[in-house]
Amino acid sequence: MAAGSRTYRCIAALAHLLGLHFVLAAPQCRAPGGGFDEEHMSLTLRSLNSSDAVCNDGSPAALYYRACCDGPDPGDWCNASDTSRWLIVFGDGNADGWCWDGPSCAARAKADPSLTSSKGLPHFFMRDGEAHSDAVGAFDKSGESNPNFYPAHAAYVPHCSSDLFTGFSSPTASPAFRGRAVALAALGVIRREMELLGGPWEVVLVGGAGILATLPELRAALPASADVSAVLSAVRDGCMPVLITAPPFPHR
Amino acid sequence: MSAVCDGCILLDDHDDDEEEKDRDGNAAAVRAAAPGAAAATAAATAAATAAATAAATAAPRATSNLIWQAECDERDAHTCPPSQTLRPAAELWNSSLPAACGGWRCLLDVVRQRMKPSTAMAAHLPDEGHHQGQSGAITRVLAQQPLYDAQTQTAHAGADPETLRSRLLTALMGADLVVASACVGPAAAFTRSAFSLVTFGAGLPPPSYASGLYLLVENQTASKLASKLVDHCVGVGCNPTCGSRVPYESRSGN
Repeated sequence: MAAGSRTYRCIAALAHLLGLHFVLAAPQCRAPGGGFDEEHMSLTLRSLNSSDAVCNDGSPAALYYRACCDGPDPGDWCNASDTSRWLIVFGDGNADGWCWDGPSCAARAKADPSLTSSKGLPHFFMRDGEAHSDAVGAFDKSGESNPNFYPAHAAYVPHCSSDLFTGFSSPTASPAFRGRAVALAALGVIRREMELLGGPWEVVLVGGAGILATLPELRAALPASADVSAVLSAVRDGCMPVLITAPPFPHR
Repeated sequence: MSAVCDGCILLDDHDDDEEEKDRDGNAAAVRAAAPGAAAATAAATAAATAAATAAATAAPRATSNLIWQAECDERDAHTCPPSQTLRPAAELWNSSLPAACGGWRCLLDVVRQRMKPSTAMAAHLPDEGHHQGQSGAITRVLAQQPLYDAQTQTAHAGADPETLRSRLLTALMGADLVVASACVGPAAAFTRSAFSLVTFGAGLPPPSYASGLYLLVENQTASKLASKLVDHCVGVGCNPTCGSRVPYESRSGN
């Protein structure tokens, strides 16, 4: 599965160099031996590989990404549309909360390490133990339960900087608050994927107050010709009791 | 000032005069009446020290703030007023928030700020009328907010729930499409099953958060369906069961 993914990336990169955007096909949803290819059906963890984009503890920030894959049925998956739709979700809106001083940051790191570090993030994005069922809402790959958005390229940027994606401290500070760099680096990675696969693009940016407050800068990181919408939202049931009892990234 | 539920929107319920005082650095304008212990924690940074000192001497503004303060555990942002946490936080983060809209205050009630022509937020969130179809613009904004939440009601004890709900809706009106639930639990989300399972009103299939997002992407926010994505419930406090659900007629009051 991983080898298939690497092969696809090599072909995509080569085609990009040759300017052959239009001949690129999305990766295949189904595995050669039968069943679904988990790497293409789920949002998969990918490091941002930027020394500037780090979590509170200095670990490299990451994103979850899934290209919209094709299936053997012409009506399936991404085959049906000429427009590529991109759903980009930043953290859990404001539901992830934030920290504002030494004690609150220490308490946050202790209560839920995934909110301050990329260490230990699971390979696949999941909710309630599910990676691509209706438990993951807009990321669901089922056309029945998610009819409008199952054929979408999807990305989820974990909020590991405790700063609502607005911080710009030194990357070597401890803790570091580099949320703005994380958001921009994530969009940089996503933009490369968009350009590899070709447009026209419909982009939906989902985030909380910090994302909305810095929207112009984030929007500028996307192709100018993209049709961009914004969703001001918390992206899960985020009231405090849920926040405490259901951390977004169970370490399994 | 108050945060609502999961912070889908951080509601700024103070008038402009106070905002001006706050921006001028007038410590007396620190609105939240922080108890001494809370103030001590906030003093972790120089800015917080100034705010906390002032807060300790400031008169309480509202019953709801007092109750909230009593529940603030000084570690969890969701239990404390944003005035106590966001201001020192923005300094600690060296936050890149625009000064023109008030620095840390840009995080408050951003949808409503978008409506105000006098704010920087209005200037840099492009106006749909002028920028529709123009490259580089954000063309539409959807706002999602639960209108019923037991915790919110608790935090705002002393405030009339209907007033609170009305204030939330007013804050959201700057968005091109509002998705807000009063009868279906505390919240729904784009990355949970509630995204497609929480529905509003009648229809086959009934409108959901998912269809709201679809309307946004397809630029159909002016359709009749869009007006049905805000639930209304009858009675003080309502509740998730919402026995008598009344569809919200429209945002423009028709």
